[in-house]
Amino acid sequence: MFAAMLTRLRALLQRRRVARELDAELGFHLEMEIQSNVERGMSPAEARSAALRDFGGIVQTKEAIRDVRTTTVESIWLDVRHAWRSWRARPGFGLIAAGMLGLGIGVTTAMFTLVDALILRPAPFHEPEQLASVYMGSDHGGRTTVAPAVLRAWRESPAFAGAESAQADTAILDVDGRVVTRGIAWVTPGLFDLLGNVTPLAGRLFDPFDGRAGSDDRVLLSEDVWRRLYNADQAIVGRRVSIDGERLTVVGILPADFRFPAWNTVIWRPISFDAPPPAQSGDRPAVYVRFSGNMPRTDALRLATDASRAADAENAGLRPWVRPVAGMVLDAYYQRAVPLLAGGAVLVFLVLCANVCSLLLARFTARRREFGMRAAIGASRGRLMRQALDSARRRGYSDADFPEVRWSRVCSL
Amino acid sequence: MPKTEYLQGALDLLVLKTLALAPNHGWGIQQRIRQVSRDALSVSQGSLYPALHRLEAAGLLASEMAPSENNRKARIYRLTAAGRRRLNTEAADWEQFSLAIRRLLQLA
Repeated sequence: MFAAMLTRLRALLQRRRVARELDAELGFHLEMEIQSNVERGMSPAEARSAALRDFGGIVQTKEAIRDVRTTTVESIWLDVRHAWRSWRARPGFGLIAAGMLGLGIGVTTAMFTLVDALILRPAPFHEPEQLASVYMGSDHGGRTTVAPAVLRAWRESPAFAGAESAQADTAILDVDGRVVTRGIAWVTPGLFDLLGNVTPLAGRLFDPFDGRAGSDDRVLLSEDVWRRLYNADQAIVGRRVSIDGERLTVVGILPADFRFPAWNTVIWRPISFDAPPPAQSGDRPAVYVRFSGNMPRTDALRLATDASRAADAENAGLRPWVRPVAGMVLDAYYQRAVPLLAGGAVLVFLVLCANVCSLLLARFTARRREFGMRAAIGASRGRLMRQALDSARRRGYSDADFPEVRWSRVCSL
Repeated sequence: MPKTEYLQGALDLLVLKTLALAPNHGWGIQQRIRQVSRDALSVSQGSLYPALHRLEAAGLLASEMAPSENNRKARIYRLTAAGRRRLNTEAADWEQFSLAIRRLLQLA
């Protein structure tokens, strides 16, 4: 077995030498045959022609030996060489075809990425359709934040299963003297529970007390920041990092795909609106609520309006505005636009495939004369067919001379 | 030339047996088969050389280029250990086969 492999390997690596040795081997045979003919009394010329006649087709014999020795690797190598040669013969053709297919595949892939992110993959939270951002405003809109007292009232109210706050901002990080800006969010500690399905990779989420005076120097980092800025430091939890000039203790790492409330939020700091008066007196919560499934939305919003008016007189005459969390990414316009765009991309791809197909057909047509000529000088239909198939089989799919092979590949993509 | 069509299936056996006696080159193998069978069996080059290369690729033979009796370089084949084992099983198979044929002929 091992010897057989060695023989084949040798045949592969030393093709020229093997061919030369084969010539020598058969030549030796011929010579011995001539010599023995001479010894039997033939003239040299006679001996030579008798030996050649006896030998039969030397080329056929060599062909048969080569068939015995040819390996799969070698025939793949032949394919590659043939493909390279036919490309070199007409580089424009190959480049155009590859360019068109590349463009088509690129467009389709980009579109699929978008569809995958927006439609196929649901929001990563628990029952995302019940999550919404709620604020009070006039018919023309209003501030997206409410008074801290309103948040507290909504927490107490049966209108919602929960109410928390999250506000996106930008922070300046100092990582060993390197200064960068990153998206940050001020969140109430209960936000992660409200969203659901948020599990830290390391450390913990915020405690209910985080954010109150004395325990507000805590921070959660995204896996993304942890890897890129802190070199995936295994001991980061408990370490102090410098954010906005403050020394904050890292309490946990969140997965890279968790980004809330903004798409670029990668750092979270706790804030509390529980105890009056809040430490950061100017801050107002931006409220996210979870509707409870068993109360109609209209009833819930009526209760919420009443509660907000009782908590803050400012809200008299204002009405609640609701923006679903799921719809923050995908509103009605995008819900129609994305599938349309995807369909368009697929059509573009099909058109490009058709173009490549017709290019190949045009090339095949150019060879019609050759086939016609062969048919005229006596090649049977079956013989021509076999030749085409043989060639396609031996040369593989790389053979640009037989477009039907590539065509079927392109169309089966 | 009698009955060469029986030869085809037995070609491997003939080659292996011939080489079991002594290493030899293609021409020598051909001559030896002809001599030993008293001209009853003749192997054409067109089937002998592909068979030699096939057997070598299967690891039953080994070969090297070496000077021959008339000082020309020739490819000399010899039997490997695997080839010797194969020869034994093939010979046994052939004995059984020919015995069966003989019995059948005597019966009829």
